[in-house]
Amino acid sequence: MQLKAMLWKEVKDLSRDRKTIFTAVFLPAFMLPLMAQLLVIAQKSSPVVVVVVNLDRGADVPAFVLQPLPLEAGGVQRVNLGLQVAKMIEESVLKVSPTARVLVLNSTKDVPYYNVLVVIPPDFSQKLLTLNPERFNRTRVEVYYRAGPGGLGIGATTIYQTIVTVLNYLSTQVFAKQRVEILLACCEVSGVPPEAVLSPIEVKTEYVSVTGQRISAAQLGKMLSAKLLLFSIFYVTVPVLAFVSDSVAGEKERKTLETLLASPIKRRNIVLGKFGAALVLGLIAAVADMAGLIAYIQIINTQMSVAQMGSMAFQLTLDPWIVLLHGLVMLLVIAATAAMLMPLVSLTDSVRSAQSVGGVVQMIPLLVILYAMYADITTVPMPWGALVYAIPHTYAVLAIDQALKGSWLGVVQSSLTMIGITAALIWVTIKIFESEVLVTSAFSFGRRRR
Amino acid sequence: MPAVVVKDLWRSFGKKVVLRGVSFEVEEGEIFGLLGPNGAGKTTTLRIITGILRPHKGEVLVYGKRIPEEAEEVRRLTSYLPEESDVYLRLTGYENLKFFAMLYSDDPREIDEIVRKGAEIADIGDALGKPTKTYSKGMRRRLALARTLMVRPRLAILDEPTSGLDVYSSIKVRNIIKKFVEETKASVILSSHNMLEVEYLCHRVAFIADGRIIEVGTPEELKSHFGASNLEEAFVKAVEVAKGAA
Ligand SMILES: Nc1ncnc2c1ncn2[C@@H]1O[C@H](COP(=O)(O)OP(=O)(O)OP(=O)(O)O)[C@@H](O)[C@H]1O
Ligand SMILES: [Mg+2]
Repeated sequence: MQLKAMLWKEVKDLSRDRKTIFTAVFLPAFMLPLMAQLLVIAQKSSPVVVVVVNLDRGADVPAFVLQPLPLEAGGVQRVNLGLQVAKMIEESVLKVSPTARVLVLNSTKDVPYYNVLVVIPPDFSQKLLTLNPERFNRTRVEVYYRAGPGGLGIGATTIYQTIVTVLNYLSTQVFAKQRVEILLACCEVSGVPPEAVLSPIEVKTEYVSVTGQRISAAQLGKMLSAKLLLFSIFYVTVPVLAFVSDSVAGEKERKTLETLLASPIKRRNIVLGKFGAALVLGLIAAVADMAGLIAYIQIINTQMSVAQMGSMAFQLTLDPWIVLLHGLVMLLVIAATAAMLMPLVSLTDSVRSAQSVGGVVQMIPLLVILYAMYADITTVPMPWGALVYAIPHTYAVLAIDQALKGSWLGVVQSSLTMIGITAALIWVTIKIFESEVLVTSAFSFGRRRR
Repeated sequence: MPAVVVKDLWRSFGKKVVLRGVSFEVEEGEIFGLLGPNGAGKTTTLRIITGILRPHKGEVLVYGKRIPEEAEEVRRLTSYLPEESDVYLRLTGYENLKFFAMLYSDDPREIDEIVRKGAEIADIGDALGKPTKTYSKGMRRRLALARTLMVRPRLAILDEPTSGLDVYSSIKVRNIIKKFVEETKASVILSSHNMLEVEYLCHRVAFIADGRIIEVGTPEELKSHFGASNLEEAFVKAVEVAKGAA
């Protein structure tokens, strides 16, 4: 009954705290979609500019040589291979990034500002289209990539890579093959596939999961999109801090705590009531967060071209399990954050000092998230490792990883560990509430009333 | 049996000794005043009686129950109005009362009864349904007092119940306290700086200075003891005597 009373009061109080409710709904629901929208806007407002300077003078060749490039007519023909390559580059680039701009020029004079510049040499057709093995030679196409200002250039990088891929394809798959066929014919060797000469080592690549199972590109995309969830761990804790500092330090600041402490309510019930209200807030934030995640993926998938997101984008999938897991993990994160904040905040005597102390606590998961972005969290070396494993947020990261590995036992284990740490911290808070430190707390020295 | 027995309380914060052997007794149905200058140790004494703070030495018995060992039982018998205490600003006056009623009782009918009593004591009319952040200071203090007294404690501990209130609000609050004791025969310990208030309300008064009780008696006794025409004069003289002795 006392616990019910406490919960009733806290939830009532919370429901009228517009600022906290706003951050609990707004941040999770709109941060991810906002991030996605920002990417879209950034992409549209600063398109990648590709300039292709085609200096190729062309060459006279028999038509059959030109396969598989577009064939115009039979017989001997004046062909500008450079122009056709330029067109191919343009098509591939626009396929990858429809917002990109591709300019084809035929002089290096007055080249406008570019992100990627391709220069096709004057002897391009001549060198490539010769059928005489004695005159086989190389021709050099130059590709410049401007690592200049204007963002990280994720889009430009992908476009640059696309162009290099197109040129490599032409070199190895089209012209090299042709030359090998010619050379094989000269040696009067037959039945040898050109690939056996071109690349005697066949390299087969495959994505595998941590457990070594083959995974599709779609599954890989799922993993990458799951990594994005790590961001949420940070911002869902913002409303928790607002609530905990208001609910615990606020009672001191607004002089309501002593009345409560002197009433018959058990201290345990005060703590549990406040923690329960934090869970209610957490539930709201977790639901808002799931909605935000769905919106995020929707925006990325419908409005963003592949180039912008790099290899991630083409497979951002909306797996209901991931969304659900996300919601659950966020709820656990919120519970753990509340439990971490409560003992500290109960030692401060004003909402403001509670928030600054809490701000420091909030940075801790950020470190874990940053590490997890770059490396496997289980590989942290020992003295640091012990520290990392003491942070409840670590288990949120682990749970997501384990879910992607398909290790549901691991997910349960991580979740239980998180719940365990949370319970331990709540126990500490109850001990603080049962002692008189709450009234004589260290942070209140020198701030006694007049 | 006295309602409250306070025996030789000592307490310090860090190196600073705040209470140096405070002792007094309060009878049932008595309003007992703690009168003393700022920093004398009034609030600290009251906090120890409610069990919020522990004494470093000495003991407190409330209706025979010992603090801090039996603090939980004591809390059921007492109700505390802290100095400068406030009400929950986002809750309405009514919700404030209901919350505290729920802490003292499990029975919904009893809770309603307590809240009705609280509304009667607070006497702030329709404002009871509005969030208390819209209240004046006097209204909030009256609500806080109503919350303290509505649960019919056997012992009410009131730390400066009228501080910061205007004359009219103070008179109202004093009358509420007086009426409460007459109706319930409960005991009250209150601290105050206001001599008029103490003289009007208290059956007995203790002068406290620098962590010591320097004199205890009815207002009449204290006045005649120091040959003073009013309590204020008696208080000043008592403090001087105590300083001379120290
Ligand atoms: N938590 C605390 N930490 C440190 N010192 C404290 C603490 N609480 C009280 N004190 C000190 O103890 C002394 C007595 O304080 P107390 O609040 O009991 O006085 P008081 O008689 O109620 O005064 P006032 O009339 O100003 O309310 C003061 O000097 C005060 O600074
Ligand atoms: Mg005081």
